[in-house]
Amino acid sequence: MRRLLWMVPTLIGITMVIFVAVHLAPGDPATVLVGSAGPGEVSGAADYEARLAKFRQRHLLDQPLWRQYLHYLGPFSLARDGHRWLGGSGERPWHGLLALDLGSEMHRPGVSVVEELWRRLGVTVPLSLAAVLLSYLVALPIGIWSATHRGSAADAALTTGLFLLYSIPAFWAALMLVLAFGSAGLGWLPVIGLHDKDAASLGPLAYAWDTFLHVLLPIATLTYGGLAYLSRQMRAGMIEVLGADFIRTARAKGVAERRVVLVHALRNSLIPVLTLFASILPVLIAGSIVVETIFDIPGMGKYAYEGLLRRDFNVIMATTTFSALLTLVGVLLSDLSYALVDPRIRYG
Amino acid sequence: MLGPGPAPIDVFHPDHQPGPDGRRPPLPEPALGGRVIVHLESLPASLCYPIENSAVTRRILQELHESLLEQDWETWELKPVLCERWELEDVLVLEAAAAPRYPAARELERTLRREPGEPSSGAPRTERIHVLFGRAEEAAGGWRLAPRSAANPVEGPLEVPAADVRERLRDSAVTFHLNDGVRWHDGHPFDAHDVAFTWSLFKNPAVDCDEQRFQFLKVAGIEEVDPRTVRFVFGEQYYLSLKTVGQMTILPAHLYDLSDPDNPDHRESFTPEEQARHVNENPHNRQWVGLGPYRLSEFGQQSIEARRFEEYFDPAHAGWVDTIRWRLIAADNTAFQALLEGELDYFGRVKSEDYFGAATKTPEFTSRLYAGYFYLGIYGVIAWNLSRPQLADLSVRRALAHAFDFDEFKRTFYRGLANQVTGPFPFRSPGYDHRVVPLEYDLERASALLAEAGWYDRDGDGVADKDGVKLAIELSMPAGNVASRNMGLRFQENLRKIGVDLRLREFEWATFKQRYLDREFDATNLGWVPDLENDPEQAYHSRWAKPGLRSSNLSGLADERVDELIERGQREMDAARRAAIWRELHARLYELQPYLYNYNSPVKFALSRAVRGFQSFAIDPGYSIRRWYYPAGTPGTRPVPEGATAPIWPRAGGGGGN
Repeated sequence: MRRLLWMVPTLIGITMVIFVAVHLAPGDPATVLVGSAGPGEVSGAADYEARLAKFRQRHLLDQPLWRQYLHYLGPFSLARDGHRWLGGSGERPWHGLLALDLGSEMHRPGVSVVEELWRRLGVTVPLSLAAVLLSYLVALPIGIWSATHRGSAADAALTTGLFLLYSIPAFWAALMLVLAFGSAGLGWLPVIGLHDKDAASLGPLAYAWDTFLHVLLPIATLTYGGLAYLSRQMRAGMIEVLGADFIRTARAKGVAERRVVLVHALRNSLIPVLTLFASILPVLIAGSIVVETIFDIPGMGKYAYEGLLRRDFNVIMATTTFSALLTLVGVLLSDLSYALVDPRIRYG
Repeated sequence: MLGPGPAPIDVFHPDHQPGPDGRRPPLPEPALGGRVIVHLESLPASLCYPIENSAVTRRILQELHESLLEQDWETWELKPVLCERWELEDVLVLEAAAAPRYPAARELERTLRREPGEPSSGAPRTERIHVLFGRAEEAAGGWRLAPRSAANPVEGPLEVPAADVRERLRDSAVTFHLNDGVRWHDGHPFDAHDVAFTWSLFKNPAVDCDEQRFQFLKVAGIEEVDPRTVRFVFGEQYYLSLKTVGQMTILPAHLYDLSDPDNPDHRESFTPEEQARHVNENPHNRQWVGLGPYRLSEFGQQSIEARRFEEYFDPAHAGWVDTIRWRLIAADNTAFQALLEGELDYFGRVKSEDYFGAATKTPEFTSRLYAGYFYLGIYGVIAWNLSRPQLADLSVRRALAHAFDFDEFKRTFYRGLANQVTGPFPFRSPGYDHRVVPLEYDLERASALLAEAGWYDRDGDGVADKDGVKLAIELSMPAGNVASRNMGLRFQENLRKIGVDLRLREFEWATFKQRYLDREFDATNLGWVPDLENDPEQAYHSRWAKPGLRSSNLSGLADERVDELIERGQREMDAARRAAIWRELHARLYELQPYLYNYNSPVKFALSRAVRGFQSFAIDPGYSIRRWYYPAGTPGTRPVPEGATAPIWPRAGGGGGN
């Protein structure tokens, strides 16, 4: 419980750092998002300045940074139509992270950032979870096998192969998969979007199959790096545990090797691998930026990237705050899983 | 081809190439039906163009909506669409003291021009004026005014003494006579109130239409003469006024106007703020109800789809295909892949390396697709910051122009496809002066000009200097722009030979834009996308050159002759005479070299071979989807029924004006 409570000030601290960093970075959302009149009209420039001023006022960009941050944090809105206690009209008193209202997108004023983020998470999270699950499902047996066959030629080949896999950048891997399996290569799998252009006319089963085919390559791209890393960690953990005294004892007592590895050694060697869960989940979200851009998937990664290009502070803050939260949750889950696999570990 | 004229069909289509006899095979018989999927680089938040002022919205509305007038793709003339004709009349602005003597005078509110630097907060300044309108001809001692339009309150020719007239505004009252039988996509009839109501929104400061509002502030008043007739009166004589109101995106009053009894949200009384909120947050901004031949069927997260509107009032100008889908793919590489996968039929952002390279030569591409190009007005410029001491001297700027080999770069980088430009107006437009001869590539001449200006290498370090200052120029450009980078590198190499130290600096777009608007650059390379006939004021008039003012006059040019030509052109209502003024302006600007104009490069596109009827035009976006078709016999298509009207182009008649 205490660890859970500590997450709140930690998250607020993270948001403060991100907020300041984002606002100090060059590039002003008003300049990017408010269209200039261009080489055109007579009174356009006067209006351009007016539009800039209006945009800044609407998004509180004309306010001191601390006020902007408090508005972002909430729960009181500091906007003109914000809370009466803070000088607003009282029309929309609540706003901010603590009120679970992160405003609307700066470039699409009618679109709620939280709603859009939620919708996009509906795409990214299943993809990421599938990738994590697949990584663990494949990495653990590989790691165990590799540890129990340590020093063999097959282990050396596997180690080299996985090292190479780990070294491949995600964008390159994604492009290679597109070239290999898309119409320019074998033509076996779709490489654009989550559904076929005619998916709306498909029945439920055909629709599910179509979706399955579309997500294969994105999931493969999200999976391979984590898989390689996890399997190496698993291998190292397993090797260490297999050398421990209690394993020697178990073997001396005549316990079958299979039981020694899968029961006695596995549970203990899982501890370092489970801790990695904390770091893998946020990394997958970050990796989704590349994957979602290349495969044209409307998920959170793409949302974050587009928000950054537009300097849409509301989108940037929402996506980075969510990533920070995910990291904190990952750390918490890892800690809990420690306790689960190692009864000696207890948190006060 | 320069200037207006018929646009040939399927120029690049592999099945329509000239045979040994030089003749192209006949085009296939068109059929109704089918679907085309067109690439979209960004998805608009809504389709309500007054609020969502984006190029993609405008492009989509070209098929989903109609306006009073349309600039014909081929002839470039304004043609009636929602109206059957229009009449232009002159406006006489009366002296206040004289107004009571003229019962036919109308009192209007004219918005005064906001001067650069004037505080932009608050409502614009206005003045009350009294006007008469009709055809005004100079007569002895004044004006003879003859009514021309329906319901003109002036009865018969009227003599108006010169002393009673403050100013005459030529062609500044326009009366539109609307077509009968035009219906909105929900079946509601279209009428003059829709037009008047839409204009009223631009007067409401709470409506989120700031980016377009300034265009409509020149309208001093509007009058619903009857349900089929509407009149605009402008408060100043300006050549783009007719086009602005003629192409205004009209909103359905029965869905947006709170005072309209047919509006489900109708109210007896409401404030302007409430009306504005009803417009700003109206669900129909996304669920668009328009007047075009296609009706919105889906506004999704990644695509927008429209289907044929069977009740479209003008079947002769409806489209051939039944469904148009605009598919969002933000990354161009991904979009090209989608094209290969059959997820797109049209993609208009093919990169040069793909166009000229192997990507468009593979069997996967050529079996389904073909590539081609066309020209819009887009061109690139390097803006010199004239407030920098080294660039303030005309000789230096002319030397720089002599130091870039335009022909060589056109040949090697653009493979001969780009047009070198020397002026501000689109290469194909009447305002472009083709007589202006570009300064030739001549490094010796460039060196001599620099020396004349006092810039030569005094200390032997290879860089020219003067008064202890090195001739160094920083050229900023957006990061990742291949053409800018290549041009910069080539330029840098040449300038080194004449002792100019050109430093290239790339900036991420947000930073780049901020820097150029703040004029924080020596030189900056960017692209401009002018309309066929754009107003040059902001980019060249000294009014916009003041330090600290954000405008398109990036160079900070201030030249009396340029100012005079711009002001004369703006008030010139005759297109031919105006084009002559613009050509003069073009020549003057090239002489002054505030910008190094570079190339009008082509739009390179790829299109499905199955789609026929492609024509390219000089007007953005350069194509009209409703002209595309599938040949008869294509699965999913049907022949034009007996007796039905098949689509034909271009639109007949002019119907308007004088």
